[in-house]
Amino acid sequence: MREHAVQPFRLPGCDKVMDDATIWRKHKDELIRYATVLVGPVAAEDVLSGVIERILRRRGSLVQLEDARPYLFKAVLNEARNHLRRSARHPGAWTGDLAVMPPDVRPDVTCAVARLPERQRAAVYLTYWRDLPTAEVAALMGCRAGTVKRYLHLARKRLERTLKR
Amino acid sequence: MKTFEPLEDVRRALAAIEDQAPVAPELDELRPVRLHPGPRERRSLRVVLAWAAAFAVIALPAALLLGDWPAPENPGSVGGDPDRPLVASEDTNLPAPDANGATLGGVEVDQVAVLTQGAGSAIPTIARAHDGFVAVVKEGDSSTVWRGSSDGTRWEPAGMVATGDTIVSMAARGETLVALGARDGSQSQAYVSSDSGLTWQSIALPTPADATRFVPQVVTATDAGFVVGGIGTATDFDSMTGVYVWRSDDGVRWDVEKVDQIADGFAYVEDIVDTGAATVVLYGGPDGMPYAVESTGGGWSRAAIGTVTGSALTAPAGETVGYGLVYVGAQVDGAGGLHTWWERWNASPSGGRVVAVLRDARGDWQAKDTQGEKPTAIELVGENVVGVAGSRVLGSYAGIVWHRLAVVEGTVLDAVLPIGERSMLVTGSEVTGERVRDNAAVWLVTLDGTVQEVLGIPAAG
Repeated sequence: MREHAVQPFRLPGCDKVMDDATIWRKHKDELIRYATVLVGPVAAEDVLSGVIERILRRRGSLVQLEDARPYLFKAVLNEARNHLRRSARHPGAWTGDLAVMPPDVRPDVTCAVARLPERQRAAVYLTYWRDLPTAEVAALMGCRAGTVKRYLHLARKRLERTLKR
Repeated sequence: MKTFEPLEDVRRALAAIEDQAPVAPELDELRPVRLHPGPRERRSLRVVLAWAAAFAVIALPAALLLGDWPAPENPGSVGGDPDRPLVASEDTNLPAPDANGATLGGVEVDQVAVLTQGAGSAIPTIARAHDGFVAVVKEGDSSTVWRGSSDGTRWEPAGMVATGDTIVSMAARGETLVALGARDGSQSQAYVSSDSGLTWQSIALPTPADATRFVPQVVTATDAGFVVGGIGTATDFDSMTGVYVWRSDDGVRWDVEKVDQIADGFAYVEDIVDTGAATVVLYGGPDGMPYAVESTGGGWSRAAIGTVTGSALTAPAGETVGYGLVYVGAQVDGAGGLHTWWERWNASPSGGRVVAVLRDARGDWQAKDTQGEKPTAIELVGENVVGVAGSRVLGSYAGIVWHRLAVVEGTVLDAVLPIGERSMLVTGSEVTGERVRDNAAVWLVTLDGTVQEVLGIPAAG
């Protein structure tokens, strides 16, 4: 098996050496929010833990990731999907129930959003809440821009169907 | 009662969910106390042995027979340059086909992605050429074409395609290559090379008369030249005007024609199949159903494949056979059940049957039973339509009667690339007990069911 030598990573044009903790600190807040939208607040930390364990087990370090942000976003989505598949076989899977529901939020909309397929939910979150351009959403999800558009289209149809019942 | 304002309500819901996020832990809190040896580590000896065997069986004789080609030095390198090895695999961090019943779009081109070593590198498209294969390697913002030998074992970089674009589709005819690049869903560019990928120039595809923007999505090579399929839009991306094809005999001068009208919603051209006598454009319509639009005597006619199968059909691939067209996908039942790779892995399909859709010599569409298998990629090997489904390699005579050719235990297979009339390269990944994709590999499979691992590749991430 090929051994991966751990090399400090330098940003282009930057003398600062990135280490694991620096890379993680840079992205962790948006990753935990992303994971929360995908699997709910209780399981979000488990998802991040699974991502980090897998990366470290396979690579030994985060500094080998040439472009950590899209890699970590894709890894979170992948791990979230694995988590949801596992939890689907057990009771208690997250369905949109929140500890504190703000008064202007409709619970049925929250439930409908939470019940979107993960990739549709990811596309909706990154596009409509994070306001990211389609190309960036595609990069973070690891798919084509056209696929993101399709997820958004399917998500809108699904939400419309669910909420009109 | 409060009026439902879809987008604003959804935004509020997303904000409420996001607000419940716990405090992100520090890395030390997540880092496992002890890293248990994972399946990949436990398999390392097997992978090394497999590679050594493959090296002894294939690379050495190939090097002796083919001259001064340097043998691969690293497991996973398809090419001979150790600094830029080429790895055939599915990115383990790309999303898998949707497990929740979102049908169209659930199976993506990405499932046959081939990766270079290193995160952020990928090969988004690979195509057959007259003398082997061509693949686009994306590294950062640049895309380079690599040319592969006819046996798939020797690769070398040819030339740079584009900066900033992801090449989503490519076709080769002789020494002429046409590639489609996408920077965003609404921005795209086509490129042509007349010297096998060494140098490239942009193509100005003509804008359809009734559209303000257009997105070319698929290019295929035909006996007469190239055909590009795509969509046109009015003012925004969801306001479509139709499905279009662009044709060229040299890859430089192009004509456009409209093949179908799309009034509302979003469509995506999945594949273009040229049967010699006709061109068939396969696309997923905004209603979630698959359609085939076929050129017939100067006009275009639409066949709703969904009316053949009775329900939606995923659209992974089309392929010509001697007399017509085969189109394969998973048929989804009314309850929304969908055969997904994960469910199939568990041998617990949730519903629906799987069919191959054939257009016969009379032009009629027929659904053929694939014995419960859902090929996610199909290709033509001789007169046989072959495919991969989960860990199985499937074969059929002209797509009519399907059977299992071989099983590669403990894997999920992704892509099949024909080599000659009797054999094929199959790419895929080993899968651990938790359905986690691990070591990627390439197998050489023959029509008599012989399977030989030719490359064992540690996963990229």
